[in-house]
Amino acid sequence: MNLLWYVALGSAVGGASRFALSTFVQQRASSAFPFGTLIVNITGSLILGFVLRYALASPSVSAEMRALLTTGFCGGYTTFSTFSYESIALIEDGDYRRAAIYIVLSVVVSLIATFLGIAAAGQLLAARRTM
Amino acid sequence: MHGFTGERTLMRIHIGERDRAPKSGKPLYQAIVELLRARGYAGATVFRAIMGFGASAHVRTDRVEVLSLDMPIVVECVDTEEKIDAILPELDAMIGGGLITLERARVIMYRPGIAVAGR
Repeated sequence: MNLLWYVALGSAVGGASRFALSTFVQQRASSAFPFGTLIVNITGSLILGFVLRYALASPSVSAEMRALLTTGFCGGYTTFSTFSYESIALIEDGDYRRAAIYIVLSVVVSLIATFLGIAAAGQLLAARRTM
Repeated sequence: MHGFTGERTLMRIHIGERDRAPKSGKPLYQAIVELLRARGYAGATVFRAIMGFGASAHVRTDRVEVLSLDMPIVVECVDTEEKIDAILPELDAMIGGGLITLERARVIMYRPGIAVAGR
């Protein structure tokens, strides 16, 4: 089957997961600061780093499964466009301090999360090899 | 229509963008406007707000994507106190969660745009 279908399935689940988690977080945050998107992008970065590194090193994980989990799920789950929109919304409001916090937190913490995901996958792969 | 000026009642109905009318499934604000028009009320205007919260305390704002999917709606209608009172039971039956307020309004002017002499 075409990889496109795996991507489509993964992104449907990823997008719905983002909507559910982001709404849950945002309704509990009493401010209009976009905590929901921030958490989604950070956790998505962690998941992608882990899954991509682990799956590529595991011959048992097929390209179809990788397409479903990475391009599909993580692609639908994380969102750069919403991050951009919400940053511009804060800038439009003249709330430069929170815009800066949002942008720096999103980029820096997402990069750290991806790094940690990759590191965790490396640890797991090493542990599996010695078993 | 000139007789309409004077002490009247302003009704404000606060609902959500995604609220639906129970029977038709139409957007609730649309169903309310159509009901008011069918009953010959003086007029109605629908506003979509940019931020708010209601009885369920969920904040809606156009600043955050997932909070922008059900924005607050206000429907305003001005008419005589009797006519506004007469429609309230029907509105109550149509509206799930929401808020209706009434206040006194003094109508200064009310006329259609084409009411220019000679046309």
